[in-house]
Parts: sequence; C-alpha cells; structure tokens
Amino acid sequence: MADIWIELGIWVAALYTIFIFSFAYRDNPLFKFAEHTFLGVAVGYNFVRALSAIRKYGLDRLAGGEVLYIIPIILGILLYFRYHKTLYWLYRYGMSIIVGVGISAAFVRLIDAQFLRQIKATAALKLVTADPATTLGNIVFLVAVVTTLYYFIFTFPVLHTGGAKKVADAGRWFMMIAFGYSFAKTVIARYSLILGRLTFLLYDWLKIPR
Amino acid sequence: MAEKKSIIEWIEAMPREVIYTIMLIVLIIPLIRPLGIPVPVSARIKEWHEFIQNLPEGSYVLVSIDYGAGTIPTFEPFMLATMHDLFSRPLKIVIMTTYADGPICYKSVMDKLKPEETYGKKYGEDYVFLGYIPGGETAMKAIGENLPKAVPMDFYRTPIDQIPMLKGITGAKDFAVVVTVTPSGDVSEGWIRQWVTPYGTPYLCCVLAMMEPTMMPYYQAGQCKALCTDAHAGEYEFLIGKPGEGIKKLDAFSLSLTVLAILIIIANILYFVLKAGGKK
Amino acid sequence: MALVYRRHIPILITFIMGIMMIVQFFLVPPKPVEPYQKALAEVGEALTNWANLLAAFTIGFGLVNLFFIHGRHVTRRTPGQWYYSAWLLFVMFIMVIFGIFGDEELGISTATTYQFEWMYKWIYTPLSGTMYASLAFYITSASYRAFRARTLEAGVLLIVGLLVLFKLAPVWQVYLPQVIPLVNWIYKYIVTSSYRGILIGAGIGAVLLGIRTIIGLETGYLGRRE
Repeated sequence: MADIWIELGIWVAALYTIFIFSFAYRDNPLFKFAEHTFLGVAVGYNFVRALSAIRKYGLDRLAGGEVLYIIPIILGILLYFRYHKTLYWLYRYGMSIIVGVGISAAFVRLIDAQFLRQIKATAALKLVTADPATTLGNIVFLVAVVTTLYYFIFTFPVLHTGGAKKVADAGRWFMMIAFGYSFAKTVIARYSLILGRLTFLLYDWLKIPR
Repeated sequence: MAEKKSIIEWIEAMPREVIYTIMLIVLIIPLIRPLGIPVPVSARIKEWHEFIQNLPEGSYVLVSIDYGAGTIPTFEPFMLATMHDLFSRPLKIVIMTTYADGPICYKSVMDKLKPEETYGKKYGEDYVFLGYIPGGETAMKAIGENLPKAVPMDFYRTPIDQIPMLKGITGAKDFAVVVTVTPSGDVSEGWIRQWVTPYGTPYLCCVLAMMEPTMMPYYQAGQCKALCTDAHAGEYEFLIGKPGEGIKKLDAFSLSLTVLAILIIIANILYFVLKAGGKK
Repeated sequence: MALVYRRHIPILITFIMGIMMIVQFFLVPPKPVEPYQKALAEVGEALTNWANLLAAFTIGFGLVNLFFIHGRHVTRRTPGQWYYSAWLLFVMFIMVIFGIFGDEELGISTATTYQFEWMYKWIYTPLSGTMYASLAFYITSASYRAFRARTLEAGVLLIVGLLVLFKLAPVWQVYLPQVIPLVNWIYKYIVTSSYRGILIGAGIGAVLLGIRTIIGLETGYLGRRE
C-alpha cells in the first residue's frame, strides 16, 4: 500500500516538474496551476512551522513558569494588526524589538569580522617573497583592494575626475575580472540545480538505470 | 515585408527555444550514457575532509542545515557526503537549522544516511536534531551565548536537559567546529559574525558556487577554515568512497559547460562578422 | 498625541533595544564575572530570545497575505484567476490541517504525519526545487544571446568567464590541467581582493545603516508615514 503512495508521489512530482519547466517555452495554464499549488503548499507549510516555533519558544516557556514571555507573545499577536485599516500601528511595537535587536546584534560584530580582520589580513601580506608569482600576486592583491575601495568613494566627485579617475578605472577593471569569475560560478550553480531535477526525472520517474 | 535573416544572423540570434533544447540534450546525454571522465579532487575538498578527519575524538560539532527545499537538488549530495564523513568518526553531532523548511532537508538527508544502521549511532547520545530556530542571525547569537536557554527542547519535543549528549553544553565555547551548508550570504556571514569572531570557533562553510567569491575574503583572512561549493559534491563523494548523486553530475558539468563556452565563442565571432558586414 | 504612541514610542523601543545590545557587547566578556556583567548578559539573552520568538510570528504573514489577496479573487470571481485562487486556498488549507495534526515538532497529534510528509516530499520539495532549477534556462539563454564583447571591459569579463567555465568542467581539469593554476591565481589574487574591497565598503554602509536605524533616522520598518 505504501508503495502505491510512493509511486503516486513520484508521478505527481514528475508532472509538477514538467509543468514548471514548460514556462521556459511559454506561459500556460499548466504552469499557472503548478505555480498556485506551490504557493499554497509553501505558505501552508511555513504557517505550520511558525505555529510549532511559537509553541516551542513561547507557549511552552510560558507554561514552564517563565511569565515574562507573555510580553513577546502579545507583541507577536499584535504584529498581525499590520493588515488592519486603523490599528495597523500596533504591529510597530513588535517590529521595533525585532529590528533593534537584529540590527545591533549584527553590526557590532560586523565591525570586527567584515572590517578590521579584512584590513588586518590585507596588511599582513608579504609584498616580497621567494616565489615571483606570489610576489606579483600579493602586489596585485593590495592594489586591487585599494583601487576597488577607491572606486566606491562618491562623496568627493573630484576623486573621479582628471588623473585621479585612473585609480577608479583600475578598480573597475579588477571588478570586471571578478565578475567574469562570478558569472562562470553562477552558471555552474544553476546547472547543478537543474541536474538535480533531471536526475529525479530520469532515474526515479522514467526508471532509467543509474 | 520583413527582411529574411541569413543563416549567420539566425545563429547569432538563435531563438531561446532552440537554446533550451540544446541545453537539455547536453545535460541529459551524460546522465543516460556516462562519459567516463576521471574525477579530479581539488585541494579545497581535501582541506574540508582533512579538517573533519583531524577532529579529536568526542568533539562536539554543530551542523547547521541552512538551506531550503528549493536547493535540496544541489546541496543534498554535499550535505550527505559531509554527514557520512562526520558520522564515520566518534564525534558528537548537534544538528539545527535556521531555515523554516530546514526540517524537510534534515529528514531527506537522514532517510538516505540511516546513521543507526550504517554507523551504529544512537539519537540523543551521538547526534541530536534541535529543529528550526527562528531569527536568523539572532538565533546564531542566542545559541552561541546560551544554547539550553535558547532551545528548550529538540525537534521531537524532548527537553534539552533530558538529552544525554547535551549535558554540560552551554554554547559556542563547547564546540570544536561549526559546519554550515547554505545558499544565503547573510547566513554564511552571520556565523562568522556570531560564532567565529566572538568565540574563535573554527568554521567550515559550503555555499552556492556563485556565492563563493563573496566568502573568499573570509577564507583568505582565516575566518573560514575550509570553503567549498555545491559543485564539489561529486569530488567529495569520490574522496570518501560514497558515490551518490554528486558524482553523476560531473560528466554533465563537463559536457554542458564546454558546449556553453563554445556556443558563446561562436556567438561572439558571428557578432563581429555581422558588425564588420555593417549588419549590427 | 497620536504620533507619540504610533511612531515615537516604537522608535524609542528600537533605540533602547539597540543600546542594550551595544552595551552588552562592550561591557560583557565571554565569561561574565561581576554581578552587573551577569545581569547584562541575562538581559541580552532574554531580549535575543524574545526577538527570535517574534521572528517566528512573522512567518505567518505569508498565509494572511495570500488569504486576503486570493480570497478577494474568489469572492469577486476575477475572470481567468478565481479558480486558480480557489485551488491555492484549498491546497493551503489542506497543508495547514495536515500539518497541525501531523507535524512532530508542533506535537499536537501524529494522525496525519504520513499525509503531511507525503505532501511536502512529493509536492512542496519538487515544486520548490524546479522553481530554482528553471533559472538554468534563463542563464543559458542570457549567456548566449546577450553576452557580447561590445567594449573592452565586456571583453575582459567574457574572456575570464570563458576561462573559468573551462576550468570548472572536470574534463579540462583532467586533460588540460594547465588551466587550473591560471584560474586559481585569478581567484586568489584578483577575485578575492576585489570582493574584499566590496565587502569593506558594504560593511561601512551596513554599520551606518544600523546606526541610522537605531537613532531613528531610518524608519522604513515602520511602514506608513503616519
């Protein structure tokens, strides 16, 4: 009995996969049907996950004696007032806590992680080494970091005029090379995604031997 | 009356339906008829594997399955290979997710891994799944500071203080490494901000291939001990001797990327030919 | 007066939360010793856990939003759309019911666990994966039809892109291994450095945005102006 449900599942999954892929050729009712199914199940699943998180991290704590958790639970319910015509402002109280805690938790650490340690790692480069390729590489590295940073200084327009513009241009050239690399990586990432679906269609649905 | 296109103009501006069909054929052929190309193993995947193999016995490892159902086709082979690597060693593995559909991904990996049958591991003693922890970066901060307070029970609703392997575990200081597989830059950088920077916890990060350049500065600065991408799955499976879906993709990568590169070259040559002929 | 409790108090709450986190960062060491450090650490942990719980509530916004939008289509019988909307609401309802009575983490019941798992394994996962996978079509089409070396800079981008495409193909790593050190040198010294410059610049921007949000100059999260 379970096998029938698995086989049915494989067919349902395969048909939905083909319906979604059909959009690449043109929009059609089968794609719209699959798209609306996806939205429905995705939102339904996420709602269940929200309920389980609220129970686990809120209601269970309240039941366990941590009475202060009544405050975030009430604020969480008030978040849904954003859909109300006149009482929409009630959601701002909960949102303020999320934003205040979230933003400051991130940026206090960011100064060290994304700023100081990056500068330290750049400053620690040895510009003269035994290997010529490494020496050239380290010099290019330092020049690229500085010129890329220079490119993004827009506060003083004079830095992008005349002879000084050449520094910004150098930064742009280095970024072009970096974006060429990113393009190729994007292609392989996308192909990896589609290959996952194609292996399902071929091996699980059409039962082609692996 | 519309001017009839020459064959060169048609190829240079090939209809997208033709391009899609060529792409599908080139991707499907190696899946049906493998090309038999040897598997190259890069230094990066060796670094990842060696780090795991050199972890002291009994070390606590935090594995964060930070991808959703949409990226299961691309990340699951790598996640599965990582789990094989971790479970083959005497380690204590704490698994969690900051994605709402992370539990789906956990179940999908564990259904294939079967740790009890394959490695004789026991839930609660060798590994535990904490479930979805909402909040993103604030979740990482919370469990790093005080895990028992941040997560009152595991996914199966067992209170944390009743799970044998979590007795005495307070937070990031008790973990030997944090491993994440994620398509999100916020998540991959979030672990560096909330675990690596304050506690110095070693960090292994697997990202989507296109996110790799954004993580490279962290890797070069030593904030990330090993950096891999989803495309390394096949090499990893080959390295640890557990062939799976990743290896099957390698031949398809070889053919599809080569054909795409050749097509782009042809398109550019034709573009310049047409430009020289005054048609562009 | 209305403005005080509608805007000013929420902005003040953001400021207080932000300051608490910053104070915790500067005054609380990894192992708190002094009583005030322990108190600050506890307050910080509590606020972080509150924020995480509130984040869980926000996940339900999607359902409420879709319910209103598609409910309107169904009640108004929007031509060409209402039956898709009806199907969406039906599937959403079924998923929620199966989830409430089947999700192990929610823990209410296991009566529909199989049905819930079946739906997310054979409907949600394939649909979600295929949505992402479709992007492969567009990148292939865009690469072929739009990627032209119209300028010198575009030419450099193209050449580097093609070199890296060849290096990523396992066949060339095996049969033309000379491509590996060349591409490795490019990513180690040029790609990493360029992205480091971008990262530092983005970091400065993020810090400034954080400070502006905490002091109340950025109020986008409040929604409407009034």
